[in-house]
Amino acid sequence: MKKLFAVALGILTAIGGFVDIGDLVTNAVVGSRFGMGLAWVVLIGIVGICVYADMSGRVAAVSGRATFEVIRERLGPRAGLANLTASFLINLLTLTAEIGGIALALQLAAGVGPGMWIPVALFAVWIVVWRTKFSIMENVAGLLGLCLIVFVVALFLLNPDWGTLATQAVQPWTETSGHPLSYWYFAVALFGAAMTPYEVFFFSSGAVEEGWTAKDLSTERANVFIGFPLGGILSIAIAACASVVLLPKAIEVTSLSQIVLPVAEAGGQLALAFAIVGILAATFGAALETTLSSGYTLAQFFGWSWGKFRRPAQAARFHLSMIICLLIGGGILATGVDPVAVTEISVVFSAVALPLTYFPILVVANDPEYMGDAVNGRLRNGLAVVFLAVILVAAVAAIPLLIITGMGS
Amino acid sequence: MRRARTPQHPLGWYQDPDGRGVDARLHLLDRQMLDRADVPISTVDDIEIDGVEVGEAVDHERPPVVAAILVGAAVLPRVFGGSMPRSRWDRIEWRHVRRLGTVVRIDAAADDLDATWLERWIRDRVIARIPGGRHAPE
Amino acid sequence: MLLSELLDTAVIDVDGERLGTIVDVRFRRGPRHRDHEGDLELIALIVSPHSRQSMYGYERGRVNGPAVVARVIEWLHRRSRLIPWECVQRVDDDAVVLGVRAPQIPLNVRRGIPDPAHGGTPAA
Repeated sequence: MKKLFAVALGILTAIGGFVDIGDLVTNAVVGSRFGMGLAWVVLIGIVGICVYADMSGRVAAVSGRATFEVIRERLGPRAGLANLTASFLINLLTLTAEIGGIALALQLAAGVGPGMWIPVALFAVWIVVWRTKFSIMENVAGLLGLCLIVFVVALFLLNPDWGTLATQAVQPWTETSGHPLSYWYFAVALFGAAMTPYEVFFFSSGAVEEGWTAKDLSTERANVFIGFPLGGILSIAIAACASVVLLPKAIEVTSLSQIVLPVAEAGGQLALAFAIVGILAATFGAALETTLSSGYTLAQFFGWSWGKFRRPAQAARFHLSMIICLLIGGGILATGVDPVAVTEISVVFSAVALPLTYFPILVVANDPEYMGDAVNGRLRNGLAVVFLAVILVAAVAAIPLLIITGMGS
Repeated sequence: MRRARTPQHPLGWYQDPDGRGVDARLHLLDRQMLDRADVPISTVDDIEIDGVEVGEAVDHERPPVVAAILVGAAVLPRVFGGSMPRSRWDRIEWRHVRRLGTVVRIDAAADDLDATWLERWIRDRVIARIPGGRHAPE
Repeated sequence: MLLSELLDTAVIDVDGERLGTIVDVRFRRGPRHRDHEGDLELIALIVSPHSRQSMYGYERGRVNGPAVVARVIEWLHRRSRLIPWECVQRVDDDAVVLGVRAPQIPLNVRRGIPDPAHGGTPAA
């Protein structure tokens, strides 16, 4: 169990990247429309985030500098401010969606309307950010989120035709419903979701919160290479369940109850309970991750004192900015807008934030002034450059695809 | 008053072969400043240089030196242009700098510096008023 | 004077030719005092004809990898040069004017100094 706690940071970070409320919905939609045809995108996304989260974790452990500090130092105030604006908006919109997601999950559990749960969710997220130790937070949220493994179990219980699933995965063109550009829109959206910048902001800041040093590099590696693949497997499993149960019946995914339908079918009430607990923990964990990322990015850009390891009185502006973000999120939800649709728009800001985030990380990971002997080797650099090119392509394609396909419809 | 003249050092010296060079934009600007207890103070927003003034001929008797680091609102002219009047500068004198590295370490406590007034103000007016604000997380 | 007043200012040579814009300012650390840093003395201006800034360090020979990125950035900054501070006559609002002709010193420490016989540096 103790070993599992050691990788809790990686698991919690991965939850925010692969199975937060936006991903839960997107993966179910993708599964119900394209079958396993987009599984390869998730696999590429897993490798990409592993490469860069590992680099950001190493930089944080060896030099003590979290990722947004590195961004500020390497891009200067103007480009850094552009990145801050884009990243902050992504964080805020995602945070809003997660709070909404918590409310939806509670609605699924309790049967009563989501509206009343929103203030409860806001307060719960805030009190954890305000008072709970970082390690307790990551252990509880990360490990309860692993209840989503029930989707993997359900997939086996459903006894699917593995041949069909494999064919869909390997030959994506056999199962396309709708315009091929919609397929590529979802491909870019899934890739962007797998590599969302707040994952590296949270992971590198978490590395500083945990007090990792150059001696902890093997722990850091374990967190990355266990946490993110696990998150990716969960998201593929959700898509697979939707592909097996929803696709043949052409059920459109419009609410959480459809997402958990395959699990209920496979394992009854017990499995459903696990799924609800998992979704609740995952959205709560993602809410914590995005709230803290908002605080981390602002504090690191402006040079404020930050960190949950400090008393709130010693990191005043950090905590004040997170309180304000939560209030804004609550305000957005109070207008009645659909929070998940709102995160679709944040794909647009990812187009700016992704390249401006990952290039500085790559540069600093090669700088002997920060890393000493631990600069990147050839393999890391090779992979990183390849993914930087993919990121640039995705960043350029994101907005046109969004507009042309009307968000994938 | 010494006027401009040809370089006194061998030209390769200016390329900083022994690593004692500090390029202001690359190594100083936008770097984090930490206090004695490793608490973040601010970023380096600008640098005040003594020994040369705008509009006057340069006296090469002595090279100009860094007098102070500016923090706070000094970042605004770098983003939006324009300049800030001298009276508004939040300065940290160079003699307080203990060590230059990937961060700038200041030999003082953050609370003792004038430049950190905003953090203290928010701490006293907002955070300390919320229950639990002064306690360590548990 | 503020550093930001020097950055992004044009540099005019003795004969009126515009050499470029100041993208960075090089200081040199003086001897360290017992418990605090020595003085930083201004020794040179880093001037680029394109006014391209870089805060990555490749073009100064400090960072080497990844090779692809290093080559591209070094190529972009191939004409960046160092102007020794001793050559500067005055600093105005819109330009820095030199008092003697500036020698050719490439920024990248890996590039040697051009031979004076080929029109690089003036006689001492």
